[in-house]
Amino acid sequence: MNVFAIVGAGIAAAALSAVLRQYNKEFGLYISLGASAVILIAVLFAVNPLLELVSELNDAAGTDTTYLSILLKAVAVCYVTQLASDCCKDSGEAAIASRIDFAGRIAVLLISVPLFESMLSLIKDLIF
Amino acid sequence: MNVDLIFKIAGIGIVVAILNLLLQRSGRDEQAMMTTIAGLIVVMMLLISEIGTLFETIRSVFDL
Amino acid sequence: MLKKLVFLFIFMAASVFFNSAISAESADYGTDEIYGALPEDARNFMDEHGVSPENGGAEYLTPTNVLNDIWELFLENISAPLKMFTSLLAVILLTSLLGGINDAAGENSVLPLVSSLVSAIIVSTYISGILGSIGTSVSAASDFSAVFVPVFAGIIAVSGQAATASVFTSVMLVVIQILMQLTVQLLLPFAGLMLGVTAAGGLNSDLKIDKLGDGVKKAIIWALGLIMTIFIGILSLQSAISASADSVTLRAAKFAVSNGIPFVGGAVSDALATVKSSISLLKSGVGSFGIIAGSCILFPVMLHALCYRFFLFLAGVASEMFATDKITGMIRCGENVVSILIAVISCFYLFITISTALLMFLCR
Repeated sequence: MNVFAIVGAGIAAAALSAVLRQYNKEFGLYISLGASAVILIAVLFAVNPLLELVSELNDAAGTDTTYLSILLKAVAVCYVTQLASDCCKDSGEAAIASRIDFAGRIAVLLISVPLFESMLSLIKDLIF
Repeated sequence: MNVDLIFKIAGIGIVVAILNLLLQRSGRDEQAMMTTIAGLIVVMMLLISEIGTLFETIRSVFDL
Repeated sequence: MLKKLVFLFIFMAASVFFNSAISAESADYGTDEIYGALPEDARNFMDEHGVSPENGGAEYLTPTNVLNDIWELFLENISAPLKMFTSLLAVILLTSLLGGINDAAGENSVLPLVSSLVSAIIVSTYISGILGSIGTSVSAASDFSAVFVPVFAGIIAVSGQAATASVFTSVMLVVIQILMQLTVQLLLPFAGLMLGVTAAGGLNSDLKIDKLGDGVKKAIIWALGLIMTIFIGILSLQSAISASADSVTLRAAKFAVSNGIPFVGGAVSDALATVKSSISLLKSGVGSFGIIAGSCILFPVMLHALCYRFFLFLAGVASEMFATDKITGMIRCGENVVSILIAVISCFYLFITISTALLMFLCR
């Protein structure tokens, strides 16, 4: 993953968006959306070794892999929600941003429902 | 990493802005508006395909 | 003539009477019962290394042997704590490396919640596993000492120190029963409760659970230390007093025998001294066997708990390095629970070992 390429792309996008905003306000939003998508894709392609390390550790441990996959899914939902909410805030729609935030939080909680269930059963075993 | 997307969008934006200016100066406001909307639609299509790629990548990396 | 006949008769009676007592080895002091009261794996260990109540493990007790066995035990016990450590490390890495994005997300971001939940589950699952094994070890140790203490006291009594023996029996049996009941009925469920509170603390993101755990751990360790000091103090004082009383009694008896019985008094008191020294050989053998047996029963569990504590400490260091605060709090709570468990086991182990050793030294 070439940090300089990403940094260069980000700065160029910011400059272009500053220029184009004067003529067409929407283009600022499009450019920022486009730049975020491109940079995120580049980062995600490069993050694979990290995830392999984590799953190797988990396999060595031999516990259930469900917990770790739940965690991963929660991280993914957080990413996407963050992207959308920032986008909305940038174009001045703070209300929509908050709704998207809220939806993201609920989504993470829904994903981690099995986690809560096993937690409650563990507590029940330990205390009673 | 396809940085060209950013420059494509920027290029289309600049072209649309220039056309908009010219058409407004020569008094054809409706055509100015139509070029703006056309530029918007083209940029939207580019962006939607890119964001689609983004979501696919997220789905594959995080195993959703 | 008549006098000579009377003395000859007394001499023969005395020799018959004391003859059977000189061969102390062949007398049955119930040492086989001690052997039978051991749990399965302790008995296998004793067989492997040739430790028995008679020789007291004299050939076995070299530093190299003991260290080798401890090392093997350590390697056996290390696998489960290592697994716990690797899963915790995976969670910490994932959270810190990929979750940095949530700083701007707002007040109660959900990602730290989920990750602390996962780490709490991991810690609680592994530690609740050793709670059960601690309970069985402690009750096995108390069963063993319920058989061992009377036998040891019997040997001490036969070697002439009856008062010490009775003191030893009463104090030891009472204290060990109290400790075992306290541990199994109160402390282990309490540790489970603490573990449950730790797990629940994963749901609530306050770190106050952490401070509560610290306070509870300090209170319990302080109380256990106080109890141990009191009991061992009582035992030492009473043993010292009764040991001197017994030595007075013994010397008086020797004096009476050597001066009271004519002609053969000196031989009889020498025979008494031989019996006493051969019994004290048996006593030290049985005593050291008891200590080794106690170690066999209790030491593996203590080592297991120590391994967990060590790996929890390492995971806590890693978590602090990666700045995942909620996970650090969770791990700290787990550390507190394991410390409490280690304190309980060490109390038990030290009490048995120290009191037996004390008596072996006081009744020479």
